[in-house]
Amino acid sequence: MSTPDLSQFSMLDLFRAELETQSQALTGGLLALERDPTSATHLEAAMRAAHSLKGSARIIELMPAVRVAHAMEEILVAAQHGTLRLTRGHIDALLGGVDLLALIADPATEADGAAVTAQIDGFLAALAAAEAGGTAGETAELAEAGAPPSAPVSTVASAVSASQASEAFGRDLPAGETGGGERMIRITAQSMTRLLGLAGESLIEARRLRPFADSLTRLRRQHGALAKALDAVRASLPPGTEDGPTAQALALARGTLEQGRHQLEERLAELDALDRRSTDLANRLYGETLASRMRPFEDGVRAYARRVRDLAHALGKSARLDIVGGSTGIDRDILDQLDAPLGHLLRNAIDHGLETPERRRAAGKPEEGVIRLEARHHAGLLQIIVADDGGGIDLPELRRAVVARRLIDEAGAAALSEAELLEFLFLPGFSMKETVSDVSGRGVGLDAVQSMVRQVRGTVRVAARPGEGTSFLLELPLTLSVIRTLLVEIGGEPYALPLAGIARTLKLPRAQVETLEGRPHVGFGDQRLGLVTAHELLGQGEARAQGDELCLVVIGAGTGSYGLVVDDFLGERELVVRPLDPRLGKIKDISAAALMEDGAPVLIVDMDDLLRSADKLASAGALRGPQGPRASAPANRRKRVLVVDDSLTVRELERKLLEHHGYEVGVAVDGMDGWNAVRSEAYDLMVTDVDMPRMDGIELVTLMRRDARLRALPVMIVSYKDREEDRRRGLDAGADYYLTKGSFHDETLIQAVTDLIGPAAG
Amino acid sequence: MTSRTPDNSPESARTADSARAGRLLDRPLPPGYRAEWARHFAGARVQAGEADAPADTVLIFRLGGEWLALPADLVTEITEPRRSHSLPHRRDRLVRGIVNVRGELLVKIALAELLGIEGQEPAASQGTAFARLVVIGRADRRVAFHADEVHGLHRHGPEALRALPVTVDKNAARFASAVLDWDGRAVGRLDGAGLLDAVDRSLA
Amino acid sequence: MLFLMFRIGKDRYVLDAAQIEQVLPLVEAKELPGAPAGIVGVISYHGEPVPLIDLGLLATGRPVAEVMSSRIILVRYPGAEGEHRLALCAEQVIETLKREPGDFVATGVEAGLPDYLGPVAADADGFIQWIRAPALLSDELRALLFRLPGAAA
Repeated sequence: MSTPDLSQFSMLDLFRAELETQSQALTGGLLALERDPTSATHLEAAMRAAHSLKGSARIIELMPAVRVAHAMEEILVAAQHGTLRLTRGHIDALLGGVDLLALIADPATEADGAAVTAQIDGFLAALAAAEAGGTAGETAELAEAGAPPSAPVSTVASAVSASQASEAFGRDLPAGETGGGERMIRITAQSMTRLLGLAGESLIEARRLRPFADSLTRLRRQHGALAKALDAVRASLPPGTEDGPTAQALALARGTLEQGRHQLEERLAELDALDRRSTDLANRLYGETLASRMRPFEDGVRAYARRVRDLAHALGKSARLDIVGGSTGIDRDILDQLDAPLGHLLRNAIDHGLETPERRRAAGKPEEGVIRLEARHHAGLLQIIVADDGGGIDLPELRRAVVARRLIDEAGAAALSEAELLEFLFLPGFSMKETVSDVSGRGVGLDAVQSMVRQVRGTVRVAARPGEGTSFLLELPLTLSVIRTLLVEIGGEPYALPLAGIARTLKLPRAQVETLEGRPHVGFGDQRLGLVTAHELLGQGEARAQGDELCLVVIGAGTGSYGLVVDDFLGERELVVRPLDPRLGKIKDISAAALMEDGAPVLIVDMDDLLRSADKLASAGALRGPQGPRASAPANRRKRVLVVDDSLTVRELERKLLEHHGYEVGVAVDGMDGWNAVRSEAYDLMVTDVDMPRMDGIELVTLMRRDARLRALPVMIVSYKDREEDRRRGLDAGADYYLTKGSFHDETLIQAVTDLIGPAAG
Repeated sequence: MTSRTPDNSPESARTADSARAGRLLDRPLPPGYRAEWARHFAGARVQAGEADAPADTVLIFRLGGEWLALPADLVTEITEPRRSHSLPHRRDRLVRGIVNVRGELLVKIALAELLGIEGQEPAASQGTAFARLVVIGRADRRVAFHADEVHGLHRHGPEALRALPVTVDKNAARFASAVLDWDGRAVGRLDGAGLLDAVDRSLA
Repeated sequence: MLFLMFRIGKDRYVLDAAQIEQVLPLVEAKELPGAPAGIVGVISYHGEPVPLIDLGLLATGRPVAEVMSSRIILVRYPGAEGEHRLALCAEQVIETLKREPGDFVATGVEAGLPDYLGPVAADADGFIQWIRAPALLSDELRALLFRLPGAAA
């Protein structure tokens, strides 16, 4: 065999491709066999897979792989014949064999023949040990692609394999997801977006035929009128001339016209058919392109079954993963972005949620814990549930932990409802465990999950039943690509408001607007609805003053609702979401863009941002409503301070304190909001918290220090964290001052502010 | 005096088409034909290969009162002007909004702002018949801008370029690398790469 | 092998296409009074003077017809001091031909004929004769031509 290296290389590629397909079948079969060691179907499937791999390995003369596959096949055949009963040790070893095959087939490994051989020997030894009834606890080396060649052949400390298995959660999904019936191909995301864009455009173009056809109908009517006119002339011919030259000329004209009309009829009919066909085609193209964005849920989570099993073993527990609703269609973008948060949640479920087998037995539960991963479409949303049947969450313990971390005092903690209490779990770095286990609780916790889920416009909630289990509910849009919106006109331009953020729409006579404390209100049911104009919020020109009716969109919920005044309603639309040029960064109040049927661009509003902006305007007392400009700034300008904190209480406290001393105050509710605010308005000082969603204070300060315009703006950090290292971190990031929240009540804050920027005026 | 191919010649063996073609070419030379071609071939060779300096193709267009040239390989599209949508909360005057070009949403900028040119006709007026929307850049780094007038592509040799006069505005000088002689005008030849970089930076 | 075909009088001739630099329209030439027979002048090829031989005049005594199908063939010419260029005008310069060198056979009357006339190939319409460009100019002509003032060396 002296084939040149090049052909050998491509053969390896083919083998790897087959390995992926067969690995899935093998793994699935082995996991099933673990529960039902004599199942003929699964034995057959697994044996087939191993046999096939052996054959392929032999063809490309990859002898190490042949050895491994052969050994696996032997065991499976023996199990089929009943001469051997598969134990957990067997399954462990065989699963290890699957990994080992991947390692062997990895071109990076070829170089180190000795280490591979050692691993193969180890594998064979483990198989033999299993056959001889080896202990269940001894696992074969979880050979991972990329593991250093000097790694021990068989695992000793479960802690080591635990972290390896846990890291496996964070690994990328296998490339080129094959298997599952249909052939899959890869396509770049950009290509996909362009396809969708072009499909949308062709739909728009196809729809232009209709108005064109209509315009020709007018032509037909004109023909009709002409015919009538000619007839009238004919009728008005003086008697006796009906056969004369005039009549004849007229008849000729009439005949020609008839021909023309006939032609037009035919062409119009053709055009109709053309219009129907092309619109139909464009619609189908568009639908198909949109649908091709969907993948079955199972595709993304199939690999978790094995990892759950491995991690559980590594932690001395027993668990299996049940996937429900595997065929549920999920937008591929969302599926990609769910990998990390789902991995976290599964890891947590095994580490924190499930009890040890002893405790489960004591509680009368089956030793094997079940983690259910379910996906379904519900009420126009995608719901994903990660539920375990473990011990639930110890609420009193949680209350204690919350107080211990000084997030709230005892009295406050006692007053918290269960739902509110559970929210604390989503705080950054929060963990109830005092000792950080190797697997989780590294501070990369539920807050990361929440922010990842938010990035795909979703929410995550947790519910727990003590002793029975915990479940996390993720609610996500069905697709990130299409969104149902209400189109409105603002400043002469179209904007799209996602329906999800709208409570209802109203048209009210202007006369109904009342003013309270200088702020416009309107009666809405039994509520007073504060009004805010879209122009103010977006900074887009002036409100249209004409008409005596106001178009209102009610946004927000409960007492946090506002009536958003827009110029006009343009109707509901389902729009294909297009991202804006990434170089523009995140634009405040805007989430993305789309194209309307006529090709005109429209901006999709970020409702969360908008509500926050409305809140800010309202609390700063700057709501102008549908009329009235702000008084011009006084010549002797007061100093302006931006307060950034996600806690309403803290924000208000700081604001009152500062305003009392004469400063003008702006507020922001998290890091991102603060970043937007400090860039769009002029401030003299920023006072910020550290622990905030969306962007924490450290990141905020870092961003500011990198920006040429904001580099010199003084920043003061005010935080609960009072350890020296937190202080260091804040100052290193570029803050000018670090204050702990405990020192609030006295003049320390004001003193620090005056130190940094001087008194409020002058 | 023309010399005609005799009819009993092997011409009859050729196909009818080539026979016709041959007869077409047998017509006498038009007056001045030889002189004109002599002039043509006497002139300097413009073929590549023997030419020592490569010719350059630029797009010539006008912003306000200034004529400018951009490397043609940076221009991806020239199309009729169309409505754009403004972007809220922008503090600059460079970014005018987003515009739909072939189903893609591109950022539209006021190139005149970047170059410090004044007096550009507002896009809405679309005054002249030659106003165009020009898209420049590559792949993900494209932008569109409104040009008051687009002359078209122009190929020139290096001898058409002159150095920038010292009195040229500092701002324009950042992006103009030379002055191109064209049609009796001095056209500012812009440095495409530098321009695109500056646009990248200013978009955020 | 690819050949360029043309006519002188009523006969067809070919030149090896590899020797041809370009085929030009009948550009005007500057006359050279007193030049040897056949050499009707010089043309300017991108500023370079190239001697023009009227093949019709040379072979049959009748100048080439001034019609669109008559053209100038610019031939490359290995010489003592590198390559020379020679311009030949002929009639019916509108076809190329693909033939094997082996198709051409000696006429049997070489001895009495000018050097530039090479072997012939036959087809349905008659004979096609291969012209050997270098032989178009006799040695003394060559020497004479390429010592002309301004001629490319």
